[in-house]
Amino acid sequence: MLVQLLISGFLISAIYALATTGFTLLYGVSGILNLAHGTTLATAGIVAWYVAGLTSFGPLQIILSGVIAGVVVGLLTYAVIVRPIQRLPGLSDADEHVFMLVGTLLWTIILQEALANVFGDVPVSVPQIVSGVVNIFGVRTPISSLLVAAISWGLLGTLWLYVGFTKSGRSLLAASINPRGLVLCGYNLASIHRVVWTIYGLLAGVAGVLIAMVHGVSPSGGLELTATAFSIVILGGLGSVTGSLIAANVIGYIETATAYLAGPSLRSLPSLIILVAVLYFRPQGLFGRR
Amino acid sequence: MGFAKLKLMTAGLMLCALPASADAQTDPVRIGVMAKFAQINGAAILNGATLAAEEINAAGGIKGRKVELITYDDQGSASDAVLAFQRAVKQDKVQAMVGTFLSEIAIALSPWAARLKTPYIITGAGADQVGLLVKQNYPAYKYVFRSILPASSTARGVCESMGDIGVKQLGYASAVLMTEDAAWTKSYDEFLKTCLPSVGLKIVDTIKVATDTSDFTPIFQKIEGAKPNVIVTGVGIIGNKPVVQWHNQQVPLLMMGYNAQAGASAFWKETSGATNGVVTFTAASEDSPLTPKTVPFAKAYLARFNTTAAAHSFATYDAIYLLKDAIERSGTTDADPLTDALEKADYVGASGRIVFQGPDDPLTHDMKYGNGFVTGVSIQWQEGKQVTVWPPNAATGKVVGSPHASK
Repeated sequence: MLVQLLISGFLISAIYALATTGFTLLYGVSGILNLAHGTTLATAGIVAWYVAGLTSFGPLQIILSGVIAGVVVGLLTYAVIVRPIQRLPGLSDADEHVFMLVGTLLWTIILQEALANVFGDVPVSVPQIVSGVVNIFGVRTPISSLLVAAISWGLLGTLWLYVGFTKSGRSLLAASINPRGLVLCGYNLASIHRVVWTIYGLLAGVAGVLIAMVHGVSPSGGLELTATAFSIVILGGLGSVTGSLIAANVIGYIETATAYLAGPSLRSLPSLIILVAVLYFRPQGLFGRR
Repeated sequence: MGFAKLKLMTAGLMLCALPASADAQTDPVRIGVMAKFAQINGAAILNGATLAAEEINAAGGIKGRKVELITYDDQGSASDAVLAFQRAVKQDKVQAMVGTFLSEIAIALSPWAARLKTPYIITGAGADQVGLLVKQNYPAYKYVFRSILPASSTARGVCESMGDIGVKQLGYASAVLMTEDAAWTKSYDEFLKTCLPSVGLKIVDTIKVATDTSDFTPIFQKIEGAKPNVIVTGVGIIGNKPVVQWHNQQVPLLMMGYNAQAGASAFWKETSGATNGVVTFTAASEDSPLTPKTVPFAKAYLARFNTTAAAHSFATYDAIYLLKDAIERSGTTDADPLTDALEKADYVGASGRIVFQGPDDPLTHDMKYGNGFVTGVSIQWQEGKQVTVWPPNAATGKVVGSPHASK
């Protein structure tokens, strides 16, 4: 039972972590809460499913097609919604935040309707990378899920190396701490934002395909994914990548434990209660800076 | 002066009235079709209606009148559905309404069919409550009919098929009942809890699943912990998640019972083949000649829409023909005589011989179930194909055990 809980919790947390990192990175660097996040994930998953059905592509190409869809949606969000709002003259910071929230919310509805019209509003799932299961301490675990977890953590590790040890990565970090200082040093903030949105699209693309592989996605399921990402990010602290990694695991394990010990239908209840408690007692989250 | 004017007016009125009454005989028969069309089941409803209307119009219509379908997308919301129903009757002047996938919506629309006195044939929603509502509020609710089996009849079909193919052919003795938390599963569960043990299948656990469940791992672990021989399902709204995860995790137990989505051929594609092995009860299948109309309908449907007909397609196709039959017998599209004619229908459709239960039967205006009426079939997904495995007289193949059992 304990082993089962640990393994299930680990697998779900890895996906949660990957699914929220792009979201939190975006907020950290550019201060934008992208409410179209879940639909971006769903788009990547649905496109990958569609490509898998049309062609005889291998798993790598299928994932790649989803990633391309993720990047395209990410950059479109930036070009169609975010950039025009940022360029609006005479908008106060507070107003800009509200505009951004409303803009991305409308964008998510547009995307959702478009997906439902093109592909139908049905849940779909991407074929697994490999089929088959392995026995880990007596727990039957799909090999595909283990691979998914490995890809998640691998990608997160790469992101960490990129942000910590490359010049362009460090400029992202700098932008998250002091954007004005960065501009004074001669950096172009707009190009940094484009880089962030591209990385965001990459992360969301991979995460979307993996979610479609393990759980399945649907156009109307996008908002639910946004809500999950949102709660994890609030618990971890807005903009803190480390915080959201830890929070993803906390929520993943608590949900799994609840599902096992109290019943699957109560799954999301305790994490919501914790969330309310966080908002009461530590509104900046576990590791938040703002 | 007054008299002359009156004469003129009367003449004018008569002139106006003449073409109008002549029009009533050539005007199209307007039938509303309502569902959430972006979903498999909604599309199945729309396609079934479309095919029936096209066939009827090609054959000269109903007593020379064309059938005109007017579509209403309810977006899966009861409030949208109620507004659309009112608009359909008051503004678009539909003479009957067919469709509705969610029982919650069918329950909300039934009083409106009564208030607006409009025949309404439900072709997707299965909660027994609908038939009970008609019975309890008869004759006010007499306009509401249903051409898809109610949940308790579906449960009966599931139970009988479990006895024949689960117990007798596969040798199963125990089961876990896994159903989604929705209006229609109340009567479904209730029936199966007494019926399954009577056919030799002991229920070792019953699990209710929230329709927004995303991770089924704990559920399958719990089910396996109870050590049953088979999982008996009751899912419709929940979609493909349980099937996909059942496949991914190679749960070594067969999923049998009722799965609304698995009845459609698109399900293989949507689940990327994960549905292999799944057994579901459904109205009819393309390869089992329940009536002389079953196979021709299924073939025409496949040719027209490039997907196989689901239970809801059969039900909606039959519903349009039921209306045609009733209009021809009553000679009118007026609500009351039309409803009386529907009530007396004895019509062989694509899904069986359709005779409605009367005001004194348990579920008024639901189809009579059983031999000689509508029975339904069970199909199993075998390597991309739906194979009919029950009832024995319609079966085209044998049921096979769990595809994951040997691993």
